[in-house]
Amino acid sequence: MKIMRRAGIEAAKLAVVLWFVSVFAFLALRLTPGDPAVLLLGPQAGRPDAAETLARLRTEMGLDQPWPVQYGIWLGDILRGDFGVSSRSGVAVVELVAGAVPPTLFLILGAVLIAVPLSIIFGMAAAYFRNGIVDRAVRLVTTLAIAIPAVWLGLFLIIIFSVTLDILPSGGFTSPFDDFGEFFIQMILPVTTLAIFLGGVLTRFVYAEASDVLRQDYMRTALAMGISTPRRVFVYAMRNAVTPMITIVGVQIGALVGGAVLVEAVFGLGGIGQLLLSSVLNRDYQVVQGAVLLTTIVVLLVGYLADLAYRLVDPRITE
Amino acid sequence: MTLTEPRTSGTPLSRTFAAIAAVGPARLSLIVIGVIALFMAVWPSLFSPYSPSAIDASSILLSPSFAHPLGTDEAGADVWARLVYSTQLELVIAAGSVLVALVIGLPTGLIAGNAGRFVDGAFTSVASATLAFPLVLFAILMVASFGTTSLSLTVIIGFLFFPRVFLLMRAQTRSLKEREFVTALRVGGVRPTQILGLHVLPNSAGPLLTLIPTLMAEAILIEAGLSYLGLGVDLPASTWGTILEASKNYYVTSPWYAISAGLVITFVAAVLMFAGELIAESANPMRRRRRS
Repeated sequence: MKIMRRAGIEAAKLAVVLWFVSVFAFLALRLTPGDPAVLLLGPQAGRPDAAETLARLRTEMGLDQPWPVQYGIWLGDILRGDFGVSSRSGVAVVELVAGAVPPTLFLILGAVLIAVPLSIIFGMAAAYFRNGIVDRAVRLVTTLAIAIPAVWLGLFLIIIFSVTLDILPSGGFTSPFDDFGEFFIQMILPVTTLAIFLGGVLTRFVYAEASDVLRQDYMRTALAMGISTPRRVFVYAMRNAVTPMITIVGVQIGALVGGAVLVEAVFGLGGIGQLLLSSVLNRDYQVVQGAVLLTTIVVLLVGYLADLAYRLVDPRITE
Repeated sequence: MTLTEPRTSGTPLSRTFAAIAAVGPARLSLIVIGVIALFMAVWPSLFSPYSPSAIDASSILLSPSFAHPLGTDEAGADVWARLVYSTQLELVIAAGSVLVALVIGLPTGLIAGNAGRFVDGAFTSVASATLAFPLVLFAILMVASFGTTSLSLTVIIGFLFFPRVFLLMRAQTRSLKEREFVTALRVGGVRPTQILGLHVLPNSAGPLLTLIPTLMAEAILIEAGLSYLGLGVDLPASTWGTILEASKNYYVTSPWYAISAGLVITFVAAVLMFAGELIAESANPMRRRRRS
């Protein structure tokens, strides 16, 4: 019952955050230099007979209304699922974003699948051999993994594996349902790039948690009881060191999506990142705003669910 | 009982060496790197004889050589010179965004940590709302809307960082508020603003100093990512990020160009992160490593 109440409170908080996001997104689009009507009309806006069309468009778009009213109209559209249309292609933003989701999603899932187990192993090992060579090596490598710009790591891997060795493709995306082999080969480099970044973040986290857990009294008790080291570390300590990782993945999902967007722009997977890249180049702000807004909403919802899951797994968390 | 006097034997020179040795190799190398970076930012001409904006059709995209250690770019300018001359703007954006975060985060954190439930709740929810945004995505939206000047980049990244400073300062204020020396000051009739400014703030310096280099590193990485998407500073200004962005079109024929830009970013970001860890260890004796 407590968890239901908690879920309600967290949902209220989420609603507040979403409202903030909507205000930010609205202001960002309205503060964009240039008249939205002119942007929508494109090159035709420069013609002498365009004034009437522009005036009609402004009325249609509600641009002659005061800002709070404009926000209300805009929010109403958003809530009905209308995120506007691309000023370039005239395609609905929702459609563009939906089409771009699969590559980004597969990229993130692949990186999580690789980074989570590896970070548990390396984080636990480094914490167990604290101050030893393993510890130092893991700390050095994880710092580097975080300090490398993801876009450059992607380029670097392309230079090595696609240009020099010519064994892996430098980009492209095939649906796994059409040709799984092709999909797998194309995803190796992007997934590796993102997994290195995510692995660095998660390993440091597991390391910090495990260092605390290994010093707890019950770990000494387990040692005194003669329980073997692998069992102590990978069963007793791991359970408590790894559970908070659910929250971290939830909190880091924002950084993860941000990283995925950049990585995927490098490899040209045709996902959200590439959509943003081309929209920025084309000054198609409606698409930039819609893509960011939709992705943010998804990220926040995932964070909310991760938080709830953590509360279910670890009942001690009440505050 | 007397305190042990510092040893004053030996020549001035050997004492200097002893003092340097006491700093330790890790700190020493960080200090040296920091000083070099500052010199590069202020007097770039000391580090490269070439002009970063030289246009020379006869030396386009050259491989690294003795004359051009990192090769040349698509306009024939020396890549090393471009990296050196971009240091200043890069560091200004990184430090500036942290400054913006401090300017917003410190006072609000102090106020929230000290205020009643209502004000604290309002401030904290704004901060956690900002923290919940996917940083890179929001930076993309904001920079696309507000323009790609170095000022807008700095302010936007700084704003996205402010919750980190805020939450730290708020936690510090709340815990320091309960300490005896603050109670003593309050009983002694010291004004609350004075307690916060002269006692709570200085006592929070350690954790803050840890956060600053970490945030600078993140600012450099975010700037690189934004630049790659075409949201870096406008020409003719240039940062390491925009150099990386320009190099991406030539990675097949001139891999050195792209590799060197990224190496500089990685190196500086890693150094800043290590600096943050070192400060954390020296500021907090509980986290010193040679302990058990």
